[in-house]
Formats: sequence, C-alpha cells, structure tokens
Amino acid sequence: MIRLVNAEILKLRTIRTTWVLLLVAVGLVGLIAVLFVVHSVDALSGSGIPAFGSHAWARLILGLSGSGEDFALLVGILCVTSEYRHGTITPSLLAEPRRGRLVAAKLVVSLIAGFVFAFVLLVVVLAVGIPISAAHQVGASVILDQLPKVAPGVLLATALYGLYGAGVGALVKNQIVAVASALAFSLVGEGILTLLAPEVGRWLPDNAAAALTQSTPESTLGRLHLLPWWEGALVMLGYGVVSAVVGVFTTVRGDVT
Amino acid sequence: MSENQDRTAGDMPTIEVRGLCKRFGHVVAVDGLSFTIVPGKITGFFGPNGSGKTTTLRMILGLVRPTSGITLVDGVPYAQLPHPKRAVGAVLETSGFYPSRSARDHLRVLCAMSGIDYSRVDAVLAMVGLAEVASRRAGGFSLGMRQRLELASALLGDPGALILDEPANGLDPQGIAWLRGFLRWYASQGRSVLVSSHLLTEGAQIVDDVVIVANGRLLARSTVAELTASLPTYVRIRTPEAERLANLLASAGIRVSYEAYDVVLAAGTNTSVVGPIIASHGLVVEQMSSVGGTLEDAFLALTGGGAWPAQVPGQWAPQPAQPGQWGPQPAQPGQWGPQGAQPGQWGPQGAQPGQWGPQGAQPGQPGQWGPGGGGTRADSDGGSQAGEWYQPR
Ligand SMILES: Nc1ncnc2c1ncn2[C@@H]1O[C@H](COP(=O)(O)OP(=O)(O)OP(=O)(O)O)[C@@H](O)[C@H]1O
Ligand SMILES: [Mg+2]
Repeated sequence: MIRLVNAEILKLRTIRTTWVLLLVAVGLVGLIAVLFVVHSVDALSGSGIPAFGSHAWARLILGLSGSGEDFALLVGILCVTSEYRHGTITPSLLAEPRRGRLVAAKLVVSLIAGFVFAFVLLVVVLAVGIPISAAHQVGASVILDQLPKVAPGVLLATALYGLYGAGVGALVKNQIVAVASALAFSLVGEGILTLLAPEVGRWLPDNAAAALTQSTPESTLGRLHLLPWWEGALVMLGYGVVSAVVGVFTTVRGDVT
Repeated sequence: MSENQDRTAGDMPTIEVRGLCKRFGHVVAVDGLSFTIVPGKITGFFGPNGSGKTTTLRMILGLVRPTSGITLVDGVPYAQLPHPKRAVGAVLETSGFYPSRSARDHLRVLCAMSGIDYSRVDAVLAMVGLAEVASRRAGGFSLGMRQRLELASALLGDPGALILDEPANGLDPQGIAWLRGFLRWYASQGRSVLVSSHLLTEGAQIVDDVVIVANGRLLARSTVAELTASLPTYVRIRTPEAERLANLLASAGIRVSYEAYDVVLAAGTNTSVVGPIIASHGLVVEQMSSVGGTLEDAFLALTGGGAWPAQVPGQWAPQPAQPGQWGPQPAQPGQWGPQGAQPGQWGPQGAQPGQWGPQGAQPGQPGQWGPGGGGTRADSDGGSQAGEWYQPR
C-alpha cells in the first residue's frame, strides 16, 4: 500500500495540472490576503470586519488559507478521473489490478495533497499578513499567536476535502461531469440547501468543513448551528470514503476497453 | 528452434482461457473460447475484425470482466498475481499517456506502482529506441513512438509472458523488423508470447502456433506446420503451350485447370513434380510458381465464405475470388513493411513458417532497434499480384 501511495504521489507530481492548481491557489489566496489586510487597516468599527490587530482579525487572516478547500477538491477529483480521461487507467490497472487498493491509495494521496495545499496557503497568508501588519505597527506575534488555533482546522478540513474529491472522482469517473457537479454543488447548491433547510445544511460538506475551521463569517451563517469539529471531520471523511466505496463497486468495477 | 521446443516440452501453460464468454449488451464478443499458451513459443492470435481478439486479451489481463468462464496467468487470475508486471507485459491499443508527463516519468510511475527499480526505465527506453526522447512529453509523441513506449512499459518488469495486441500498429519497417527479432529472441528464452493480429501477412512469418477465432469462437488451435500441411498446394504455370502441358500433366495423374488461356493450374502437387515433366518434354515456360499452403490460405479457408461476421453490416464482404485483397486497405499506415501495401502478394514460402523474419533465427542483439534487416526479405516469388491469386477451396 505504501508503494501505491508513493506511486500516486509521483503521478500527481509529474503532471502539470497539479502545479497549475497550486499556483492559482497561491496567487488567489495571496491576492485576497493582501486586499483584506490593507483594507482592514482603515476599516471602521461596525463594518463587520474585526478591529485591526485584534485576535479575531488575526484568525480571519489565517482562515483565508481555508480557501484552498475547493482546490483540494479539484485535485482529488483529477487524481481519479484523469486516469480515465487520458487512458492511463489501462497501464495503472495492469500494474495494480486490485482496483479497490488503487482507489484507496488515491484517497490517501488526495488527503495528503489537500494537507500540502493548506500548508502552502498558510505560509502564503503568513508571508502576506506579517509584513503588512508590521508596517502598521502590529507585531508578528499577534498573528502567530492565533496560528495554533486556526492551522489544525484548516489543514484537516482541506485534507479531507481532497479525500472527498477522490471519492467523487471514483463515483463519477467522467472528469468534466465530476468537476462541474462537485463545484456547482460546493459553490452554489450547498448554500441554497443550507438556506432552505439549515438542519440538513449543517451536514453538508462545506458546513461540515466549516465546523473544522470555524472560519465562516457569522453574518452569512445566520441561524446555522455548526456541528462540533470532530463530528464535522467524521462527516467529511464519511462523504469521501462512502462515495469511494460505492464507486469501487459500481463505476470503477466496470470494463476498461 | 528445435532446441526451444525441447525446453518447453511438458511446461505448464502460462496463459489459459477456459470457456470464456463476453457479451456487451446484446453483442456477443467472445463465445465459449478455450485455449492455452505454452512458453517458448510465439502464438499468433488471428481473426477478422471484430472477432473478439482484443476483448479476449483484455479479459486475460483483468481489464474486462468475463460474462462467464475464466482466464489464468501462471495458474491464477491476473488480479491475484503477486507481481503482475513481472508475470505479463502487455501492449494494448487504447492505452494512454498523460499528455504533460514525460516518457520517462510515465515509466517511472509504473515502476513505482510495481516495485520495479527505476534503473529499468532507461534500459527499456534504450531497447525500444526512445532514449533520446525520454524527457519529452508523451502527449507529443507520434503513433509509432507511442507504440514503442507501450512496448517499453510492457518490458519494464522483464516479464515471463508478453501479450501484444496489434503491436506493429504505427511502427516503421525497422521497428517491425526489430520487433520480430525481439519476439523470436524472447520466446527462445522459454517465455511465452501471444500476439494478436488481423493481418495474417504481418504475423505469419514469426509465429509457431496459432489460435484462430471468428465471431468470438475458436476455429483452429494448432501449430502453423500442422495447419498448413493439410492444405492443398497448387503450381501455376504460364506457358504458350498450355494445352499440351495440361494434357501431359493430366496423363501423369495430376488434376489441372486453366486460370487463363495461357495459365495452367496443377492441383495437389509442387514444382519438384511439375518441373521435370516440363523439362523432359522441352516445353516453353514463361513463369512457374507454387501457390497455397500458407498460413493465410489456411486462415481464409477457415474464415472465408460465410465465416465473416455477417451481423455487422458494412464490413468487408467475403471475396472468395480475390483472397489477396481482404483486410485493411493499403492506405492504412504502419503495416508490415513496405510490402504491406499489397497483402496477399506473398508467395508459397509461407509453407515453411518461422523461416522468414530477417533476423528470425538469431536476432543477435535484441537490445537494439537496429535498422539491420528491415525489409530485406528475399521475395523469390515476385510473379503473383494481389487479387490474381487462385484460392484453394
Ligand atoms: N466496450 C464495448 N462495448 C460494446 N461492444 C464492444 C465493446 N468492445 C468490443 N465490442 C464488440 O465486441 C466485438 C469484438 O471486438 P474486439 O475489439 O474484441 O474485436 P477484435 O478481434 O479485436 O477486432 P480488430 O481486429 O478490429 O481489432 C465487436 O463486435 C465489438 O463491436
Ligand atoms: Mg482488436
């Protein structure tokens, strides 16, 4: 199994899409972080943004690294579906004919990839946040002190998002369909469902992940009462593993012709 | 070659297919197929288009699930092999490459998956002649280069058996000559080679054994020698004294017919019988050649006239009168050498299977994709032309 995990890591490392996704994530989060910090310097109290230099403000900056979730979702999906899209599934299955093990390795690697994405993005927000704050007489320690409170949640949530993506990929092996439906659900569908039925909404991936990061701004949550963090983690894990298992016994099991 | 046969006598079958069936919806692709492949030989897997060859090979490799029946490699289903890549190397048609991944990385990934040392990567790339383009993106490879990369990935595990589906697709004449020599060498080491083709001319030269299928069913399973020995052979003589020759032959007890006013066909005999008769009577002969007894004849006799998949409309209709013209049209690239443009043109030498491939007998250094021998086959029977060929029935 370790052999397969290493091979899957090599696969992700040797394709361009992974690096493009990481680069886009870094650019996007970096940009948002700059805009946020600069804007928050002279934001008025009562504007919804916590006071510059406060603990809540520091947590918000760090929490921006959680935007990597959707990128982790994409990496997880691509990890499985690109094999079908490019026909590498044939050589892969010749090397490892036990399909369940192949999918299991992909779940693990997508988890790792999500973790790495979150780690890199945490570094990015620190690299952006600390210098700009320092220029406005807020010491690095203000942000760094909050790191232990935010980082574990972000790392775990993003990692689980990667795994969830791999599960979706195993269930829907058509890459375009998988990416489109997962993104549409994550970005739009979940929000609407949550609005209509908050009691259901809290069990959806985005809000289960939010239970881990606690980063979702209060205002948009409204009445939503998030799950405890560990329940959120289990729910995320469940989505990934269950869809992967269902996938292994349905789509992945099919003929490769 | 006799030495190889000694070595393999009594060996366990490496590949075994038992009662194999596969349906795709209501299409029956494979219908009760059973055969075994033994080490030390090259087995040709022949059949018309759509006869279920690819499907069978994919079932052996665990890629397609049989509707019923089993396939075994070294006595176990493929998925239960402890080291699949070391047991079987496969070249399949629809296998893909990640476009932005280099050829070397593609192979490295497969090494990593199979626990094979990375040092094998450059070794197999050199073998198939891709060493210089190893760092290029596989997405930019030509058809022939992809085929070579496929072959490289099959060889990674130095496997005990090779399964190749139309391996000559896209290869240049040098590549094909190399492949023939390589497969011969591979089998001579006591390993198994199963190679599919719908082009008889392509494979006939190097195979020892044949499995012939049509409509997913087994038509023949034997050695090439057995298969062709049972076929009638003909001698075709072009002479201005056709009538006189026909009478002479008939009085010698040989069945004769006319192919044209100046072309006599003598059935069930060979040139060593007809030649002396001609000489002793001082007949003028413009051309004489033997016809028949090739693997292709055997194949056509087995599959021709109704054995074609009738349920698939739009396929090439059987053309018994022109046996030399079946198969893909000449425009298709990557056929067996330059001669591939005129399938069926190859003459009666086929009666001695395995003796053709340029490096057939001793490929020397199989590690090189040398140009040596490419297309140097001596063709002593230049006379016949596609479509002109008399079909033994
Ligand atoms: N995935 C599939 N879905 C439906 N039908 C299929 C599928 N794969 C193969 N078939 C059908 O099964 C039959 C056998 O196909 P197969 O590819 O095994 O033939 P083949 O002997 O390899 O032919 P060729 O010489 O053209 O390569 C054909 O009728 C084909 O249409
Ligand atoms: Mg085929």
